[in-house]
Amino acid sequence: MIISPLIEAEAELTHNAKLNCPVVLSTRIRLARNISDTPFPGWAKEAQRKEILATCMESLTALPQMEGGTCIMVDELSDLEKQILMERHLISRELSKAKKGSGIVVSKDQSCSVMINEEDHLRIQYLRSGFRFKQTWTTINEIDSALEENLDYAFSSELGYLTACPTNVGTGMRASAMMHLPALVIANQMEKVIRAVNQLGIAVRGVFGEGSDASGSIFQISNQQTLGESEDEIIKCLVNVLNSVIEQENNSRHKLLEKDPIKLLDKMGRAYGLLKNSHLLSSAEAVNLLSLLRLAIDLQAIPETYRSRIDRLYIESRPGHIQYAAKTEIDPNQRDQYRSRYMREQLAELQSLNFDKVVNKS
Amino acid sequence: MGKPTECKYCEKEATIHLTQIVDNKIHKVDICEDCALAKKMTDPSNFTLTNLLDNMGGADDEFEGDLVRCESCGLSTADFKSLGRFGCPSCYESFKDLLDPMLEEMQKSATHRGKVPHVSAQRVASRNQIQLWEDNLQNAIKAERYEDAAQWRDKITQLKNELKSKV
Repeated sequence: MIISPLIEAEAELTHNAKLNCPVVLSTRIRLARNISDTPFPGWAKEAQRKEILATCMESLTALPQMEGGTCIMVDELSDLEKQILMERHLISRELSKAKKGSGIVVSKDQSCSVMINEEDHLRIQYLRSGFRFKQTWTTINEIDSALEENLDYAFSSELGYLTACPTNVGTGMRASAMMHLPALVIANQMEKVIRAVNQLGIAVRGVFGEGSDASGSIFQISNQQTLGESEDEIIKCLVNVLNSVIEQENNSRHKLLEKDPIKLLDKMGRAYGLLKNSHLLSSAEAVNLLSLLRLAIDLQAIPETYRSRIDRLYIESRPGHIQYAAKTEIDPNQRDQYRSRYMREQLAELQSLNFDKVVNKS
Repeated sequence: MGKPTECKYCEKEATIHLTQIVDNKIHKVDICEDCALAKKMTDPSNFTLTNLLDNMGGADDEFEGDLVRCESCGLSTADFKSLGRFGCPSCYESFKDLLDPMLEEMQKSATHRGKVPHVSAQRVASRNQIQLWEDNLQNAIKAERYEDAAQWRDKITQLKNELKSKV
């Protein structure tokens, strides 16, 4: 498999969870960029797409930030490989269905990935675990500036970076955080939160972006508007909203522990029991159970050292990853069996949840 | 309930109220049954950005929509409406009339206040300048204004050298 080195390497998303960072799993910024005087990928002819791909690949691989990285041509990938890359947030659904002449370049630690000829010529993405917008913006800004040394970007002084869709024009920037909000989900407060943040021009989506569900109580929260404000202003506004969502989630957790601690302890305890003992586990169920274990870490019922593992299991429990790990084609039922065995193995040494601290805290 | 809403296209009472969320923005259309049938809007799955763009001004008539075409890439208004995307960077100029109300609706303002790619922008500007001067040079040669031509040639050479030294 072309992508095996990526799956087996230690990556930012799977091996580098930021300790003591409840609620926010990861921070991500993406920039949409296009080459001047060239049709956008959706309208370009195959030859033009291939030319763009070659030019961009050359500039990208020359970047010091991409040293030791991986270049992949999308049409050389199998469906399973595309699915796995999507599950790791390295490519979008759109790119997986792209016409000939699309590719990706992924940095060594997989924190930076650049899609070529997706909706725009370049979709540069930089991702860090935890809640780290400042650092994420600084890094992606440097990568973008370095690329600009070699590539002529389509830019207008009035409208900013020109993108295939006018929803991205201006900064071309989408900044987002992956948020784990189990207490707001349990307390049925998410709808209210979504409505409130929407009014501030902030979008809430499921873990796999537009149209995906929020299994595992994970939500992707991002800016919607790209034109009329600077990158710093957009990020500042988003961070303010995210901070207030974090506050809401924490309040909700306190309330749940105050009102009905037994109910919450029971949920976490059952999640522990099921993950350690079940023999059939669907992807959706696994993710929901892992969400409760992540909550147990936040509440200090599970040692902090498990955070990275739980965050990794979120990704490894997804269908494509299970299929890959099984090393042979297996049907969904066998997958559920394989997934449950994998969870049992991965959590074999996890001790019973220690609720003393949870109860004392409440 | 307030008074019945009027159809967006005629004066009859609107009996169909369509709400569509595109890019997390809510768009509402009130329309009567006849107009809905005429505009083939009865199937929500077929009612896409195409129709939304109709509501944002620009072309109201299907045929009128084909009149604008981007000179650089050949994308027509109809293409833009069906794809929801532009064909090339020049489309932003070509479809300005269609774009402005859209930007007003979905963006904070219509003026960029963020990062500027100075290096790249400078290079593109220089290249356009060279193109312009080369035209001038040719014209000067045709008109046998050789002194002018020599000046243009020197300017072009100088700017080209500057460009090269930056790479």
